[in-house]
Amino acid sequence: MPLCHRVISLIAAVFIMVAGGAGAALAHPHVFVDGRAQIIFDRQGRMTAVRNVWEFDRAFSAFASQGLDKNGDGKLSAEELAPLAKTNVDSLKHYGFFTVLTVGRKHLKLKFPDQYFLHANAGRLTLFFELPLVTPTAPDAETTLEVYDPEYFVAFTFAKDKPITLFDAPKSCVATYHAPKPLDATIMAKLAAVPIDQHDLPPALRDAALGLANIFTMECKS
Amino acid sequence: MNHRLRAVIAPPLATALWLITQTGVAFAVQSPFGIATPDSTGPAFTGPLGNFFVWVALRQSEFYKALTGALDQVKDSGHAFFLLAGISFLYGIFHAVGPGHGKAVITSYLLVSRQTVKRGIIIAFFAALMQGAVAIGVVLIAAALLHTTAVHMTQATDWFEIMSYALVVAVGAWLLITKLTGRGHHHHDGAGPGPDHSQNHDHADSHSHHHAHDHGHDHTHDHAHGHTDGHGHAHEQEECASCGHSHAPDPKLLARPLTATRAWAATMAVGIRPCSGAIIVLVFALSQQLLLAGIGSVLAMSLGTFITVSSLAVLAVSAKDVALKFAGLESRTTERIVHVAEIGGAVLVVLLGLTLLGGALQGGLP
Repeated sequence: MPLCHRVISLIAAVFIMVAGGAGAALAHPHVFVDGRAQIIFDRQGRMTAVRNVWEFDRAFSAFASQGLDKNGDGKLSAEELAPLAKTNVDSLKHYGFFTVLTVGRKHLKLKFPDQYFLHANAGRLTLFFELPLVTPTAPDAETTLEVYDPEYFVAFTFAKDKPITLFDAPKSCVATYHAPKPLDATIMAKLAAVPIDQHDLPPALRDAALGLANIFTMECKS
Repeated sequence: MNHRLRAVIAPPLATALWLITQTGVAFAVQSPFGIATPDSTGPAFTGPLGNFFVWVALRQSEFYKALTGALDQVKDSGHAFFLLAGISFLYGIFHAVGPGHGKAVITSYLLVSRQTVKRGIIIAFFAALMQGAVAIGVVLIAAALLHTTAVHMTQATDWFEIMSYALVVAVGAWLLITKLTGRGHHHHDGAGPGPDHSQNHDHADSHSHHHAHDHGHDHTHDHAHGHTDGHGHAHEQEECASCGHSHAPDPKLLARPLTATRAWAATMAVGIRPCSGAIIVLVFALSQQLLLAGIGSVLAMSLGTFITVSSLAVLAVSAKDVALKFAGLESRTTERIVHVAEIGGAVLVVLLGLTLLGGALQGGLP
């Protein structure tokens, strides 16, 4: 019966669409982060770690710190914030810490943070964490650091004043901040198809993705 | 299929397909910070409406920022509350425009179980109100009374999310059983020997075929809800054992408890999961000693959500009614095709629910 066939093929098509559409979700931001990035160098001029300093918006900070003032002194101590900091980094692991460091088109592997803590100031929480490089690597002509959430649940903005700091870097190294371009539907559509943990974007898509990312480029003249 | 039939089958199917593809189901949705789970069915900025959803996302983002800003002002000036309420209302409208499972479920439910426009509006109202009420309840109990942490509140909302998705599966399965079994059930328990005995009734037949036989002759009977509904009442309502389809269901039949239960299940499936934005705003308000303003804001959001969801419900139901009118109510083939489309719709709801539930459970229980 032709009608049956139509219905069966329709259901099959829907199956495929549901399966194919999986993972392609984007929210609008509920978390607004004012970020700063730092790159730490060793004496050989190699990058050894990326440090992120993320200050959350007041609403999310209030939500995050709900019930954490155990002694009720109206202040949030480092001890009171420690469990939340751990929850934060444990969860961020699944998102690649929203941090991608690239040298010569190769993503450098980052380890789980060896240092992390939260600090409360004037109703806002700031998360500090340091991601050590698995292999210390010297920057080359094409060195980039990207910090962003492709699913746009977290909206990152970077301070105009010193968005990135290089610690102990060779004097010839200069980092430049490139603010994200306005969101573009084509970029979002492509990004939606790529989970952050599979951040091996094809070159063309990668370029497009930079439209959303906060990107830092580094040049070390020799 | 002639063009009339296509006119009948196309709108509901297109609607269902659009909703499913735009729903953007995500697996293993967790929060990047371990608290405040993202709306897992947030907009996928793809498809023909990608640009529109990007625009919506940007507006939402602006309204959300304005909203938390307005809450700050309420502390200094009572007038700011009206600003807060207005922004919250607009935020609610925009928040609901982004595709989400709620609208897919509500429209599928309305179309498949042949609800009236009025019912659609009522269900949208209670679903929107429930969403706000659950957020308020969670924050009042977890934060204001028990002083628990954001981690616990997130766990609570994750449970509501799982319940919501389980209800989507239940509602879909219920619709599907209703559409599929019908007379077959009455046959097995001998409760309702309808006029279909005159017809050759082959149980080995495919479902759609089976129903094609069913509906060839009962469109004069008047009731939309298939036979599981009728099933529980078959003894006191013999005529319903053979009920066919109506496009203006008898209000008395609408009031039947089973239908009401199903309507509540659909309402809860849509409304039981609070949105992270509402929870964050409420806790923020609580931390500023502005809990009442926060509650007002969330209720205004619910009103905005209601406007969007009910508009969509009205649109879906009216579109179907117009299509049916155009195709002619009396056509047997029309009836048959509509029934098949409804089975398809019910299947979609089940699949959507299972996908959402699978995604929510993938990372383990909250």
